[in-house]
Amino acid sequence: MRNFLLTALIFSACLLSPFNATADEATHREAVKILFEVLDMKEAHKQGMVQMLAIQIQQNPQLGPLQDVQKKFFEKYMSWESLQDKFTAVFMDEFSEKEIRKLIDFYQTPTGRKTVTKMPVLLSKGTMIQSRRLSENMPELQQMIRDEMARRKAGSGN
Amino acid sequence: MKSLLLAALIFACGSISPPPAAADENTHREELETLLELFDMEDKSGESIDQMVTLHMQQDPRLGPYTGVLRKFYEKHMSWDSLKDDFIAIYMEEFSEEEIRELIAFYKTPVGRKAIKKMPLLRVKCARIGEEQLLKNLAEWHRMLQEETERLKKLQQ
Repeated sequence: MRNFLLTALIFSACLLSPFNATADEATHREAVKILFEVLDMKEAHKQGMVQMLAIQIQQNPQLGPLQDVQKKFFEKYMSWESLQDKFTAVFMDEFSEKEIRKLIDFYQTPTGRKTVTKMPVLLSKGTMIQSRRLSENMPELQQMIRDEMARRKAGSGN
Repeated sequence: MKSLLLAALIFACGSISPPPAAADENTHREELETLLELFDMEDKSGESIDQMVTLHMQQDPRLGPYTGVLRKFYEKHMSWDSLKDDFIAIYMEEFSEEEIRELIAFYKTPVGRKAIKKMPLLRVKCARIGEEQLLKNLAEWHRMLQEETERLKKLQQ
């Protein structure tokens, strides 16, 4: 009888465990979706796609008349809806559900929310600082290269 | 007398206020330095110098013999030491000292540290997913462009 009970217990545990795993996975997935919402990932992705298309047209102006088709293609294959399940899987691989919930907690505080809003601004300001710094000092780089060319020329002449 | 007292008070306030403001600015700056250290900005700018030098070489292989010159230039103008003050200034404009303290407190927690460490990797992984999706559907992309080009040509005729 005892053996029978034990077997029954093991059997039911085996039967139940897949359901538990699925339930865990479902709550984990749900938590990642909430995090994406809190991080405003859908909007950021949308903006990213708009920028990508604009850069493409800027680099290849002959694509200008084809931009509606490009947009249609991007909406079909690169939209947030078509990619979010794969992005969710990436986050699930890297962060446990508990960690995701802690991230949600922080990014829902006023400072956390402000970080989400301000980070793109800070990133673009940071990029501007770097490109300004580069263009301001470009003559110095050109001079450095000329000096090095002259040094090499003098070296090979000896 | 009342006016004189008021004037003295305004003068006193005026002459006293700058030192606390300067002290605030110093602590605000110090807090930001701590936050940006947590963000590993020094290592990240070192990595981006490597990437920029590599990119130059790829775009113009004739620059090969000048790798050393390029690196020296980037280390002078694009190193974290040379950019730090400008970055601190833009963060100071956007976040108060109290907010910076809250950010430090979060990014010092295990999950905050993990977020800093993992976010660049997650960005790369997500970008790769996008690239794969594009490559997988490249044939359809070309077909759509071709059809539209032909349609536009017919319209012009």
